[in-house]
Amino acid sequence: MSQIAVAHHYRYLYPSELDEAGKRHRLRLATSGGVAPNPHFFNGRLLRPQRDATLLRGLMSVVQARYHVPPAMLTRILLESDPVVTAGSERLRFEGFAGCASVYARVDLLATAIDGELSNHGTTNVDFNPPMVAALGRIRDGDDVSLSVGSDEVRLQYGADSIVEKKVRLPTRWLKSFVEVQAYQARMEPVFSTSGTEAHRFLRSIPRSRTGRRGCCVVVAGRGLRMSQVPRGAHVRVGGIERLRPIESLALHAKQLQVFRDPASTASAWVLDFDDARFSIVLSPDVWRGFSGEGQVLADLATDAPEKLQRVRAALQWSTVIDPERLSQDSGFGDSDIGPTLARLGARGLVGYDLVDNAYFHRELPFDLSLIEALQPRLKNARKLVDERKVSIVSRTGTSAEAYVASSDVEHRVVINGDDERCSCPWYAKHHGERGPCKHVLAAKLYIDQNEAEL
Amino acid sequence: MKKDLEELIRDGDLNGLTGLLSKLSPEERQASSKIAIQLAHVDWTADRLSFLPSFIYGRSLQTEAAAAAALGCCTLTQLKRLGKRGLPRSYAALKVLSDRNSEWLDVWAGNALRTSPAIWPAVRLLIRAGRCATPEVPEYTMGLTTGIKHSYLLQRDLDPDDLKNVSLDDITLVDALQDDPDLLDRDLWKIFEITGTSEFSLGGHDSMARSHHRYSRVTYDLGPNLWSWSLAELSKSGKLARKRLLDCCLTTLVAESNRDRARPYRALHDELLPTTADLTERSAHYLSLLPSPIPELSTFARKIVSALVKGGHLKARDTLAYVPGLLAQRAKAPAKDAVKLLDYAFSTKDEDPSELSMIAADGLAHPSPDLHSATIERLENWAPSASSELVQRVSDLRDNVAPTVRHRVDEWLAANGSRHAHEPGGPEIENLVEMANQLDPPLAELAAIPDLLTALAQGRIATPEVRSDGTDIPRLEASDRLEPIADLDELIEACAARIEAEPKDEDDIERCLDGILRMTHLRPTDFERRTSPLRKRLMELIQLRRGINLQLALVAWLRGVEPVHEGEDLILPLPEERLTGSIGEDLTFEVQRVMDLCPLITKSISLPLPALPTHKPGWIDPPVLVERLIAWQTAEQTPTTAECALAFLRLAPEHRSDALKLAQPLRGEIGDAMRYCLGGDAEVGDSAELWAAAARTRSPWDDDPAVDQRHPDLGPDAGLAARYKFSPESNHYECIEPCWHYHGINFDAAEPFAGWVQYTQLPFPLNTLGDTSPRTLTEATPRCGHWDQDKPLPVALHTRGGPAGPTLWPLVLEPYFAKSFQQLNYSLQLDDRAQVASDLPPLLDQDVPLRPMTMHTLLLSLGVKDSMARQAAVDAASAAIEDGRLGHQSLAAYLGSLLRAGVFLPNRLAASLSFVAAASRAHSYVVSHALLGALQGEPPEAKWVKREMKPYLDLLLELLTDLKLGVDHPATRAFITALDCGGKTGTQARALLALKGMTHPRIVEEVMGVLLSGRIVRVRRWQDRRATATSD
Repeated sequence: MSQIAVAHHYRYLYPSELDEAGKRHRLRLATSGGVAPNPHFFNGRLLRPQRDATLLRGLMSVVQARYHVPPAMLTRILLESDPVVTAGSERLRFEGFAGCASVYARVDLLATAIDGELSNHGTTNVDFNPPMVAALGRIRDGDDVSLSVGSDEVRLQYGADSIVEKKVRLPTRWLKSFVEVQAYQARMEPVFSTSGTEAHRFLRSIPRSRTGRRGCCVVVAGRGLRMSQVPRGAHVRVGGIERLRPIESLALHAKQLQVFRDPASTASAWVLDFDDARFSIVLSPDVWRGFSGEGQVLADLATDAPEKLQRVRAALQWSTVIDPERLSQDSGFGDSDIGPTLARLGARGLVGYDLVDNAYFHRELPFDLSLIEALQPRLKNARKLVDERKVSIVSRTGTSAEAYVASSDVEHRVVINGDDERCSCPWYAKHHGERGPCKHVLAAKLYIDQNEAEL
Repeated sequence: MKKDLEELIRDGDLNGLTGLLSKLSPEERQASSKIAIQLAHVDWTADRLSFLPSFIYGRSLQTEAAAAAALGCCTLTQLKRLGKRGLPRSYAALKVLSDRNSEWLDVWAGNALRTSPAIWPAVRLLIRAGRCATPEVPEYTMGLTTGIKHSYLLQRDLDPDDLKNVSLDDITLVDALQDDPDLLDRDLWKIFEITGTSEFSLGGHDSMARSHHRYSRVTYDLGPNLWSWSLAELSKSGKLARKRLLDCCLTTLVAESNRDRARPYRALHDELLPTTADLTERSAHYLSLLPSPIPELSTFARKIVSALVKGGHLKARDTLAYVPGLLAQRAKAPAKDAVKLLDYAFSTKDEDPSELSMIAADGLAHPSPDLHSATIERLENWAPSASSELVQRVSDLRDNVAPTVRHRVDEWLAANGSRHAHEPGGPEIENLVEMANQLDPPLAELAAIPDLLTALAQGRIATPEVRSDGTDIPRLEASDRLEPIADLDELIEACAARIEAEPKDEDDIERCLDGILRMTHLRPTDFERRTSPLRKRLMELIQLRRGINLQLALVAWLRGVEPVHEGEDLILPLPEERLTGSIGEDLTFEVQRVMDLCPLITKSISLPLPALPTHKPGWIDPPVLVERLIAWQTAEQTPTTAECALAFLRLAPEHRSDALKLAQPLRGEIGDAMRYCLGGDAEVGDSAELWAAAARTRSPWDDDPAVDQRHPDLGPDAGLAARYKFSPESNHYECIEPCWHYHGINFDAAEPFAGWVQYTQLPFPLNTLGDTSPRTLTEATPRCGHWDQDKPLPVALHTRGGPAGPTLWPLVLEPYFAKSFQQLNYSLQLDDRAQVASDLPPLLDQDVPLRPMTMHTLLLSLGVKDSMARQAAVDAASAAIEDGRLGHQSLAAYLGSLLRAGVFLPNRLAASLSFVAAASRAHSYVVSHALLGALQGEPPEAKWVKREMKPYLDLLLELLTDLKLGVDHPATRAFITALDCGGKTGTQARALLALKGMTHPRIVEEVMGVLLSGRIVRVRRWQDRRATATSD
């Protein structure tokens, strides 16, 4: 059985809080982990405080939600995961997942939304405690709100008594989802966009009740959008459309809503654009399918090229928008190598993906990244099959190969033809590769990689 | 010793077991752990424990004995792995654990609570006995919420016989809590810090207590059984600090997102009787609750905040940050309260009116016209000269504003120097007319395009319906062609996918059956190796039950074994094992069909499957079927009549004359029937099912006297075409208590609306009116979908739901929709479990005619509870208006009868109709005029019935205002006039009657443009199909 949680220790020097004094507020976000034990990233002001506070509350409404509770779900895996913030070269990004990992949410505060100094770069956990989140609701646009993400001064100001320590069982799905979601986003393509007002009108029409396993389509209707049971024209298929509800109230003041879809599945992304800020949510293909189990990064994790990864990683330099051309020059690799290498870095939790910029951004997850591969049972089993010499190649020509992989009491036939990978096992029969390759395909590919010269 | 232990467990001798365990050494205990674990996993079915308090669910003595043995012998890890099976449910088992005096008892307590918080009373007993510390896990507090009374009982160490006579209702929560004073100091306060579950939480407990109280035969006071009342009582007696309780209560409510869990905290808040000073002191909490996703909490907070603001205890400006959240709520009440808060703020004169106006503008985004009206009123008063930002905001929201208020918004915008851009019109009408004139005249006539052009030329709107009955238009779409499986690899993969999960495409199973039958002779050298995973998986998954079909064909193909049907059993005589499953005496059509194919498969006789569709959804191109039947004839094989009947029903209308020529060489009864299907002459043969199918295929909507004479009394859709009559009746009415809105006991049989009946609970008021042999569909339905050798009902086989349903007789879907109709007719309160939504997509096929059964299904679906089914119906209705299947006259006729029958919840149906109307002005026209047509005849007299009409009047008013039309028809005016019963309904009725309509040329062009373009698309599609068919 795969591991469901890993021990994680949040250690905040002080609780995040909103210090209110009339119309002047100080929002202090406490940090834990990442580039330093308690890094300090930003000091400055929020230029649209009520809007930004609403976005952060929207993020928390996703993080605190659970859209699907599997029958065997253990109630003790509580929602103890704090969002992470990345301070890149010119913006702050806050990210998190719903408890069931079927929804990813991110708030991007662009350079024009914040007036202040990014003193450091990196990624860290942020304490979003309930009183602070509640206090965000009291902020109005006319208020003067300063924001700090981490602080060098707090140690003196607060003293040791204020330290907030949370030893949690961090669900592995949280960790795995971070690497899976960027793989989906990197494949997505824009489908349509509509104004914030029209988006709000559509989101209001979403049923209040849960739709369970039944999907529906969102189609363009005039200037707006509407739900439909059939795909017509530009459309996005959504399973569990109630997962869009967190953006309902946010959409009213957005400039536009951009919608993206993954051509290979029914995953979709919904980005509210506020000119100087963005709120994105990415929905997994179905409400009962968290991103963690999707297996989209297995092939990338199975590919070993440590030196290349190391050199490209060193050239990332906390870029908010990674330019492949520049990265190619800085790392010394050809353009064609950069895309796959970035995908592999994403699979290891070292970059995220921004749909609007259509580019990766540097973000190193503040968790034990060595766990990522260890948490992939399919990959572990595939390596085991190779180690136990269970793979036999029948034919190999160019990018095509036919192999038999011995399972417990039957041999599975694997046929690889370029990107088309087929297997005779039940996993493939059920999912047809939509949820990542099966262990037999992975084993065959690992075997071919390892024995390239002999084959 | 092991033997003794096992015997004691098997005997369920708990006392003996306790004695034995007390004598064992640690080593002996460890040695016995294996047998204890083994027996703890056994599902004992013997006598169940009955003497235990009810915190312990019924459990067999043997299971309890095994658990006691495990508690006495196993390690902590072993006990953790045992889960619930290793938890004590009796004094004896608990004593065994307690007597071990293990160091790990603290850890065990935490583990046990995580496994099941219901074990709390036992853990509490250990804590109070000083055997373990209080576990720091949330499950401890969760367990406390439901286990406190049980703990009180356990503490008394009552004799099991005495326990039988104790009722938990005799113990109050206050008594139980006072019995354990340590809880009051510490543990009790943690109930405000945990979320809990629906079972283990204050809400879960109180909800259960209420339910128990409601259905109890004994009268008792509920209060002492509720946490809210009990905590307040303890506060009154000074045992608990009132202010702390109040603070904790509010903190919990702010963090809570579940209505049921929030309820007791809200009740406790009220029980604590907070004073104005208390409320003022905690105003921040109430403000935080304003945008709560729980409507009750939002209302609760709004009332308090409004009172505080009104009383001057809270500054109105402090509420402003929360107003946008209230305006964004879907319900009208919070948004109206938000406007009131803005009014308070304005009245203080401290706030900038332009800032207030900016906040208020969000009200225009609300769906309620009342809110739009209230908002524009504020804008007119507060911001007569507005900032550019506000003007832009209002302009952005203008299209969302209800038509009855929109002119005020336009006036306000104009006063502020902004003129809204002219509304986009419909398609360019001249181009459309030109395109329409170039269409094939007969097909254009079918689509009623000449009528549309005439109306357009006369400057009026008309919505004539398409006249096709589905048989007179080409149906085969080139893009819908289904390719048969090409090779063995594809067949293996397709079959593997099919047995693993429900296929996304229902044609897969037909393609698999065809592939197996066509490739049954292919046996390459590596056949065994390639098919072994599929063979293995097949044998793992196979279950002989109703509905099994492909698996039987696969067993015949891969194992060479044919199934046998004996009595009620289906038998697979495999060499290693004889598999048997009970599937009943009558085989379903699908199973019988596959069983008929199995002998051919095992004998490797390769043939095409006659009924394999050539095009979606379920169509067969007639010449292809003839070729398949010739192939069978050449191989000297004869397909079963069932296979042929299915193949006939799937025949497309086109290419029939070509096929008739090709069919001349076909011999025997099948050949005759085939030619008869295609319009040829033949003498009706003996096989009733074959000829009934041929008659329906030849002319689906007409009677076939020849077939009926030869095979009479076969039921609907055999020799005689089925006829449906929908006759709601009022005398099948029995009501136990008001179920929902319409089904009140206030129903008066003398009500002038004879149709105000419990229509949705009538036993299927459907009658088929065969002149010679009237039968109800109810009679036919039980046999639908089943193949009965003695009673041939070939056409009934398609009266089934599911994805395959519409593919069985694609030309006629009336029987297919009968299933959905039956469900909807039973109750419109169906939720998603009824899966009506999945039955509706065929309605979207613009070539499916809306005949009575289909039409009733569509309309009932617009009012069903399941939102997805409603959405599907909205899609279908919108599409039908656009493609010309649905005009306002037929919609009015059906809608009128159903409205009078009281089938719908008015708000729900009105909302669905408004979604349909929102698609375009053409849709708006059809819906509004359908309502105008439906609201005629004898008006109701009872006031409550009149009030039920308000949602329809609201919708009608907005639609007609938008279309700039009035209520012209005298019958409708008379009906609406009679609805003027005062109140809001009367206001709306008067507003409707006051509408002055006139035809606006631009609106006529817009409406007619939409209608015309939809039909042009449709006719072009028919033309393309015809052209493709000719080139083929």
